[in-house]
Amino acid sequence: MTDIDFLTQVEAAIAASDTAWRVGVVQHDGRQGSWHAQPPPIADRRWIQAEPSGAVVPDRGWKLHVSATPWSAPDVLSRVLPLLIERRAAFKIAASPAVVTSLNEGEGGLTQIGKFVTVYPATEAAAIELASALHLATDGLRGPAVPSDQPLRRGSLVHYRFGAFDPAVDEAAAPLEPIEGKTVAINDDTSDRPDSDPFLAAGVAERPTEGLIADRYLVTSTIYDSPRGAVHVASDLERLLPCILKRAPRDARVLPDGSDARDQLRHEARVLMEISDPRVPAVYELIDHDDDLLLSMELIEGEKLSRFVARYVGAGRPLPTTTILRWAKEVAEFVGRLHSSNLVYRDVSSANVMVTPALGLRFIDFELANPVGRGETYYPAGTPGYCSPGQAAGRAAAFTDDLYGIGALLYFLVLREEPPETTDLAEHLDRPDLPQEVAEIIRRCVTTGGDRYPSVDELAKALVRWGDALIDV
Amino acid sequence: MADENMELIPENVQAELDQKAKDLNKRILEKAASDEDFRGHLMENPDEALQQAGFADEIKGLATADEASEDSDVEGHYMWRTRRWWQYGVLWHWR
Repeated sequence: MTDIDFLTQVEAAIAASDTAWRVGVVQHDGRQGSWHAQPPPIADRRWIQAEPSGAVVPDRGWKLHVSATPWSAPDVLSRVLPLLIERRAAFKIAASPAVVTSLNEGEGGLTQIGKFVTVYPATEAAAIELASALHLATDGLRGPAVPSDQPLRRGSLVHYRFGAFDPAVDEAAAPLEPIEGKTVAINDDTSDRPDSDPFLAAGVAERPTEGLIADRYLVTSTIYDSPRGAVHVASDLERLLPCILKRAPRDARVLPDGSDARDQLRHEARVLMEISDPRVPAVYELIDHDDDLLLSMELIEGEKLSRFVARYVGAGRPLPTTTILRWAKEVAEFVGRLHSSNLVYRDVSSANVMVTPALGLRFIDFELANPVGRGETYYPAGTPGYCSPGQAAGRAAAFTDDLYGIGALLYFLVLREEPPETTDLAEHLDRPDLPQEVAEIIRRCVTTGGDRYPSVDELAKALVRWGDALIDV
Repeated sequence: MADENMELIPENVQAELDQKAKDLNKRILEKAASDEDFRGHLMENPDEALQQAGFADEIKGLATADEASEDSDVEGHYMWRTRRWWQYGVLWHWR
């Protein structure tokens, strides 16, 4: 994506107006560019701030956020700017699509997702009127929900929340250095927040959906949360069974082709149904809920291999070699079965293998799985330490991706520590606590050299030979 | 060589919370299975049903146990940064 200079857009809009504005830039390191001075290079800019000259911005009040994806941001800005300038509302925007990407990926925390434009209306009435106008202006454009705020309406890019105003610096910019002598308020005090919601009272906002999901799922807890989605433990009150609800929010990690996390979740559901193996979670249904997509699936009893092994580490005990061998063979057999169906898992890791109460293994998280030769990605994804060089570079799925993952998993099982976050694990195998025969097996999984195992089946045979050698000893 | 007779030590906080969530879920389902009125009430008004049955505080407790302050001004918004999230974050920068 070519980065776009939003500062030019802001300055052009201001130049076309008949009011004077102060425009400034905050850099990634928190330093502020001088007002009306030569701004820093675009790559250094994080925020662009603008406020009408002479305007008095209150300390706190109802602030508005307008979200966008990196791809929709220019359109959102072009529709929002005239309204903000006409109404003389102080605002702050992410300085470029790259910054929008950073925000939406949660690099500033989950609360910062979607905060492309922050508006500081002077009064409550102005906030309500402007929110409505911004919603109408941006209707139909794409952007993620802002998790910390109330959406004006379902699917709206416009969100609102009561909090501290500081157009120069607020919690979203999160710099640690005072700017222009101002004290930086990191945390808002919301003790004077109004009891009622004036946006609802004015009929501008829509009351959020409450109750069960799809009239049958009761969410009891969230066991994982990220910018790309969440995993909930839930009760299916129709079938009276526990389940996992995997949630993909709207417009999370939008790709150039317009697909987002919801498409990835649909993909995962398809893959799980194709695998049709008792060792993967059963898929119940896909649910459209508000603008999110949820996948209802089997709740697997047990714990992640990473946690299981961590308990051994805590007890100062090695994992039994027989267990390591049995599990390594089981993982290889499972992955070999996927490969026979031309499917590459691409996320073999200690977090994606579940140990059941009977000490069997089950496998979860197939969103990255793809047929061999497909799945080339714009945003490379995988688990560092377990991710092959090709996958980390965003290349199409290859069986060697899984070989690498199994090699890294063997490293984890034997050494009881996560593999180093590198794509060259072979360089980290020369350790006195790693038996030579195991190091050789791992090396032949992760090497890019000519003696890499030609298939997972060959790896499985090597594991059998290792087991035989142990018995002989 | 150690045997497979697993000797457990206290689980880490995350695992403990996950287990609590699953146990709570199980108890709600058991009550819903044995008490048709409760089940109906849950379908109609889950918040009220959970409150009256004494589950609401447990659910709230699970939600707030992992609450991370971060540098956020958002009251009541819970989040935690799992390793996996950061893993994706790291990968983001690889390109």
